[in-house]
Amino acid sequence: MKRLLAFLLLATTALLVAPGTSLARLPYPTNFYDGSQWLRIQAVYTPAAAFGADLEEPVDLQVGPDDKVYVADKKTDKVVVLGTDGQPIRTLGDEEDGPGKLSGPEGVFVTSDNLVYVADTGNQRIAVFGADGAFVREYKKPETTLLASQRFVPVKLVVDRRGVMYVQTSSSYQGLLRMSQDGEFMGYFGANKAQQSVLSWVKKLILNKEQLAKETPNLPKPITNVSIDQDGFIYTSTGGDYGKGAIRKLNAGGVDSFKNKTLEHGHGIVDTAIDKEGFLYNVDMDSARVNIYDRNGKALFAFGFIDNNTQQYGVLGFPTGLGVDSKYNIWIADSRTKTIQKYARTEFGSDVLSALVLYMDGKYEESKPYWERVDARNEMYTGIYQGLGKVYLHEGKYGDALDYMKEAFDKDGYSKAFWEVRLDWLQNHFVGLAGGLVAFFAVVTLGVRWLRKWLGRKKFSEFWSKQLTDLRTFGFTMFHPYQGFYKLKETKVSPLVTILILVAVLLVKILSVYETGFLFHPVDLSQIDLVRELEFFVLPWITWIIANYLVCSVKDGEGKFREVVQGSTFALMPYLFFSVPLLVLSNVVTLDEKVIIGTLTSVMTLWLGAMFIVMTQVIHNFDFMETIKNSAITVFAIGTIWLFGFIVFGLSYNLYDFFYQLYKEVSFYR
Amino acid sequence: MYQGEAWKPKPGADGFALALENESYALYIRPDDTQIAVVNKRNGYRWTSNPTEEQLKEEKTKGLPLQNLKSPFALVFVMTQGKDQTIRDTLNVSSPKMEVAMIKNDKGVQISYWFPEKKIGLAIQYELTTQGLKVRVPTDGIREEGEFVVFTLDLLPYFGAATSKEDGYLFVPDGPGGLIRFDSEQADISRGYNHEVYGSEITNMANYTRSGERREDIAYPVFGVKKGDNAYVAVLTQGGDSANISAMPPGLKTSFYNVNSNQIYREEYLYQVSRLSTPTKANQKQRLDRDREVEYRFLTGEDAGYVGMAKSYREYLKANGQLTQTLKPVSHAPMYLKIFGGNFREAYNRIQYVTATTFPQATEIVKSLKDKGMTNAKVIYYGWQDQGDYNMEKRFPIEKSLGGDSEAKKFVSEMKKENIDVIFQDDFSWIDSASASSGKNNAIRGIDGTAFDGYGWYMAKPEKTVREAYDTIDKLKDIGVAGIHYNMLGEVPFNDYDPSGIRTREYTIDAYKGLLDYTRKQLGSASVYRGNAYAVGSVDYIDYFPNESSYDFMIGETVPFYPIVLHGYVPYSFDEGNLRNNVEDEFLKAIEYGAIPTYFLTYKDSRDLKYVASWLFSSQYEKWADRLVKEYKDFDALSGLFSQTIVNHEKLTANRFVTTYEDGTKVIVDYGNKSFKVEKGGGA
Repeated sequence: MKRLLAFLLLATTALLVAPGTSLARLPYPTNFYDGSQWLRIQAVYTPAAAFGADLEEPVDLQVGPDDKVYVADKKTDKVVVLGTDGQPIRTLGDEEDGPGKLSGPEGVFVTSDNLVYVADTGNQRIAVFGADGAFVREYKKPETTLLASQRFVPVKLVVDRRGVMYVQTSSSYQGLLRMSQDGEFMGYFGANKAQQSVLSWVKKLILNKEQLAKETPNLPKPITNVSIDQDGFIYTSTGGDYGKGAIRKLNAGGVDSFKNKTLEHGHGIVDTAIDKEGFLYNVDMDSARVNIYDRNGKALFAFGFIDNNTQQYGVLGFPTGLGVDSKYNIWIADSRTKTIQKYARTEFGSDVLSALVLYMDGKYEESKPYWERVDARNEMYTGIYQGLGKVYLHEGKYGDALDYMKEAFDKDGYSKAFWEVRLDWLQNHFVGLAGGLVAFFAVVTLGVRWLRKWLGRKKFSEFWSKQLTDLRTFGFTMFHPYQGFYKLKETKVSPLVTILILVAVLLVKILSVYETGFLFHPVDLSQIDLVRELEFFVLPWITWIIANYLVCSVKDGEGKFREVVQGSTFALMPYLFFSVPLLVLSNVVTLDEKVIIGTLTSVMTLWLGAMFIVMTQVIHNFDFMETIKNSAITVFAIGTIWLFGFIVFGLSYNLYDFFYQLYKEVSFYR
Repeated sequence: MYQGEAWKPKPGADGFALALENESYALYIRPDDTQIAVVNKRNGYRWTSNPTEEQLKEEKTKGLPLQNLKSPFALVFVMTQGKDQTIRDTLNVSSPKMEVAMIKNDKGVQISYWFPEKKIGLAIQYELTTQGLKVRVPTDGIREEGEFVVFTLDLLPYFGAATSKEDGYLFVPDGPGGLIRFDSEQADISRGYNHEVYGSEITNMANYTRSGERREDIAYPVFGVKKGDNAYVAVLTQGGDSANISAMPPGLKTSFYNVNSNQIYREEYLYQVSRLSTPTKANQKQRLDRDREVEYRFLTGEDAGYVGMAKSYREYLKANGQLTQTLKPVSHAPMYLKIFGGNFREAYNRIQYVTATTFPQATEIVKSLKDKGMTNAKVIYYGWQDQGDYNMEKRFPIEKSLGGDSEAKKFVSEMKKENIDVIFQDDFSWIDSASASSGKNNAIRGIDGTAFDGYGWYMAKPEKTVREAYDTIDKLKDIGVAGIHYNMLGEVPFNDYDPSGIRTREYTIDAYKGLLDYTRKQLGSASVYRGNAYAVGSVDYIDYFPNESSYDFMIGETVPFYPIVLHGYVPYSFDEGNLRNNVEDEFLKAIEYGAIPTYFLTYKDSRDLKYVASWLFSSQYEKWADRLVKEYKDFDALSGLFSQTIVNHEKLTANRFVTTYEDGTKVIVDYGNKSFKVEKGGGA
C-alpha cells in the first residue's frame, strides 16, 4: 500500500515525485476537485496521439468550426492545418514574397465561416485567409492619432460574430485592442487591473512626485492569451504568478462574470478553450496540469503533466496553445517537442461530464442515468452525491436526497431536502408533536413549581442554603445585571457554584461543537480538534479576567481579583441561557429560516457584551464613560498579552525545533 | 581476468582476424580498432559491432559521435573531487595514445584498453556459446589510477545498428515489451530511450527532482534487434540491475537506430552542504563493484522476432534455474480476490481505524460470489495489521475492529473448507515515523550518506525487512494463512550506500529472494507486484504485471514479450477489474496476454474510505458481483491454457490479435467489436 504514497504525494505536490512509481498506469494521474483538495479519480482523458507534422515552433492552436486544427508555426512562417486524424491538410502562408507571406505568426483564429485570421507578428499586421487557404486581406495598424506612438505587433486574437477583432499586441498592458471589420480602432478592451501592493500604497503616501516618477510604474500585467465562446464571451488569460482574475470571462461590456476570482490551478495559465457546453479548459504551467472548469470557473478535473524532458504521450514539454473540438478531444500545441498532442475523452469522462452538463442545465431527470453510470464506477467523486441528491430531491426521495447532500457537504441542497423531510414529518406527526410539546411544558412548569415548593419547605443546612442563594443570584443577574452584580460585590460566592457554572458552560460548548445541526456546522466531526476549539473559548475568558483585573487596579477600580472572577463567571449566563435553544433550533430550521438563529446569536452576543460591561462598571465602581474606556483598554491589554504569548511560544518552539532537528541530524544522518 | 601471453593476430583482407569459433558461430576481431563481428555459420549472417565502412559512407555526423560509431565501447569518465563535478568526457578507441593488449585462451579473448592520459583502463572479454556471444567487463579489469574515474560504459553501442531503410525493429523492455520499428514515423519527435533496469535508484535524490515522470519501470534486463530474417536478444546476465538500457533513433547522435546496455558505475547525486544552501552536484566516490556480462543470443528465420526473443529468454531463465517446471493444470481458472479490510485515518487525538470489510463479512463476500458461480479463488486480505498501516512494525494482535485473531482464524478455516487459500498482504520495506526502530540503524542510506527519508517514511535495510518478515511468518502460520503478498519485494531493488561500504542491488535482491523462498517453505506461497525478473523463480503469483507501455513517443508498438516468457510458469494478473480506466479494453488485454482475473472488493461502500484509500474508488462487492462472475466465466473458459506456454502472438489487423498456445489453441481478441473467440487446438 505504501506504493500509493507516491501517488498521494503526486496529487499534492507536482514537483516532487518518487521515482519507480511502478503501477501500470497512464503517464499522469487524474484528479478531481472536491471543494478543498484534489483527490484521485480514474482517467477522464487519455493521451490519444502526438503529431509531428513538420512543425518547428508551434505557438498557438485553434480548432475550427469543422474540427480542423489550425496551428501557428512561428519558425516556418506558416499556419498548418491538420485534419481530425492529425494529418496535415494544407498550410497557409505563401512561400514567395507577397501579401500572402507570413513572418513569425504567433496567433491564429478561425471564424464560424472558416475565415482564418492570423496574427502576423513579424509583419506587424493581421492577415486573413479564406477557407481554401488563399490570402484574402490584411489589417495594418489602424490609422488613428490615439495609437500614433505605439507599435502594432499582434500576438493573439479572436474575432466575434460581427467581425470585430480583439487583438493582444506584444506585451501591451492596455488590454485587447478592438478593431472593426474595416480596420478602425474601437478602443481598448478588458485590461487587467494593476496590482496594488501595500508597499506601493505606502510609497504613494510618502514619496513626492519626483521620487514617484523614478519608481518603476506599477503596470497591469499583459494578457497572455484570449479565447471566445459560442455566446460571445471573451476569456482572457494572464500567465505568471497571477492568481486573481487569471482567467476572466468578459461580456461585451467588459464585465468579468468570474468576478475576478482566484482559480484553482490558475497561476500560470497558457491558454484556454471553451467547449460547446461552456466548460472551460486550460493548461497551466504552475500546476503543470491540464484542467477543466465548469461554467462558473469551479475546478472539476486535472490531468496531464508538464515536464521539460518529456518523451511520453500525454506529458507536455512547453505547451503554447490549446483547443477543443466538437467531439471534446483536446488538442495542445507543444513547442518543446514540436508536436501537437491530442487527448481523447474516456467513456467514464464522457459520462461524468455529460452528467455535469445536464446538472448545470437543471435537467436533473435526464442526468440520472449518467450519474448512475458514474456511481457504478466511482464512489469517491463528490459530484455524484450532489448530482444524485438533486435527482432524488426532484423525484421526491427526500430521505435519500438528505443523505447525499450531506455526503457532498452541499448546504443549499441539504436545506431543501431537509425542508421537505421536516414538512413530511410534521404532517405525519403533528398531533404527536403538539401533544409532546404541551406535555413537555406541563411537566416543566409543574416540575419547577414543585421544586420551588419543595425548596421552600425543606430546611437546608447553612452550607447548602448558601449555595442555593448563589445560584439564584446567578439567574437573577441575567435580567437585573446592576442589582445582581452589586449583590455579588458584597458576597463571597462559594467556589462550588463558580465551578459548577463553569463546568456547565464548558459542557454546553462541547455539546454545541458536536451536536449543532449540519446546516450550521458542516464539518466532519471526527476531524474536530476539541482542545483547540475549547482553547479559543476558554483562553479569551481567562485573559479577559487577568487583563480586566490588572487594568482596573491601575485605573483605581475597586474590584478584587475574586470579584472579577465571580463577575466574569456570572456574566456568562446569557451563553448558557441561549445556547441550548440555539442548539435545538439548529437541528430543526433550514437555511430559509436561518434568520432566527442569526438573530438569537446576535442577541446573545450583545447581551454577553452588556453583561461584561456592566460587571466591570459595578465591580470596580466606575461611571459609565470610565467603564467604556477601561473596557477598551482591557481589550487592548488582551491583545498585548496574546501577542506576548505568541512571541514566547514561537521562540520556545524554535528552540525546541532546533534541538529536535539536531536530534534528527544525529539519529538519521551520519 | 585472463592471464597469458599476448595474442597478436594477423588480420585478413577486410582487416578482421578470426578469434574464436565453435559449431555455430565464429568471432572475428579487428586488431587495429578492436571492432568485432560474429558470423552465424548456419546461414552466414554477419553481425558487426559497428557499421561497416560502406554503411558509414552516407554518415554525416562528425567528431565524437562518429568516433563512437566506430568504437566497440564508449566510456564516460568524471572526477569525484573538486568543485565542478559535472564535467563529463568520453573515451573510445579513437582516443589518443590508447594502448591495447589482447589475450586469447581456450575460453575466449580478452582485450585490455589503457588510456595513459586519463589513467583509466578497462578490459572486455568475449566468449562464444552455443547460443551466441557473451561479452563481459570484469570489475577487476577496470583501472582508475588518476583523478579520473569511470562513470558509465556503453558496451557494444552499435552492435546490430540499422538505418531507417532496413526492415526490422529494436526491442526494448518497456512494460510488457516495446518495439521501435525502423520505419517509424514517431521516432523523430523522440530523444531516445535510456532507463535503468528495475527503475532508477530511490536512494538518489537527484532522481526526484524531475517533475511528473511516471512510467513503467523495466522489469527484465533484456533488449534486442531484429533485422530481416535475423535477430538477437541480449540478456544482461550479470550486473544487469546496475545498467541502463539505451536505444536511440536516427537523427539524434547518428543516422542509425541502435540499442545497447549502458553500464552504470557511478551516479551523480545532489549533495547538500547545509540545510540552507542549494545542493551541488557531485559524483559517487566508490564504484559499483560488479562484473558486467551481456549474453547476445542469435535468432534466425521464424524465431527472428519478439516471440522468438521471448522464447530464447525463457530458455535462458530455464537454464539458469529460475523457471523450473510448468504450472499444474487446473480445472477452473483461479481468481485472485483482494479484500480490503480497512486502514487508519488520523482523527482528533487518536488513530481511527476505518473498517471496510471484517473477517465475517469477507466470508460472506466469498460465499456469495461462489454461489453465483466463481468456482476457484484465492483471497488476498489487506489491512489486517493492528491499526492498519499506522506503525508499520506493529502488526499483532490482528486489528480488533476486523474481528481480531479469533475471527481471522475462523475466516481462514471457513475458507479452507471451501478450498480457498487466504493470503495476507503486507509491507516489510517501508517504515513510518510511528515505528519504534530508529532510522539510523535500519534505514538504507543515500549516496550522500544520509538515511533515505521519504517524508517521514524510510526504507528498511533488506536484513531488517527479512527479520521483520520472519517474525510475522511464524505468527501467521498459527492463524493458518497460506502465503504473503509482498509489497516492494518484486518491484524495487536498491543500493544501500552504508558508510561501511556499498551494498548493491545484488545484495538486496539476494535477501529478497531468500525471504520469498522462506515464505513459500513456511506458509506455502509468496507473491509480489510487478514481478521483476529476479523474483520470477521464487513466487507463485505476480500482481500488477507489466501490461501497458509508458506511452513513449519512440515506442510504436507494445507486444506481450514478458507474458510469453512467463505464461505457464507463473500466473499473473493486471489491474483489478473494478479499478480499470477502460473496463472492456483492459479486460480484453488480460485475455490476449493470458492473465488471470483479479478484483479488489469491500463489504462497505468505498466512499467510507475517501480519506483512507481514495484510490479504491469503487469496490462494494454487491455492485460488482455480476460483472465479476461474468468475467470469471470468460476467464474460466480458458482454464485449459493455464499451464501452457504461449508459442506465438501475432497482430492480424490494427484491432485483432491472436495468441497461440502449446496445444495449438488460438485466442483471437478483437478490440474493434470488443470480443474474443477461442479456436481449440489439436491437443485440447
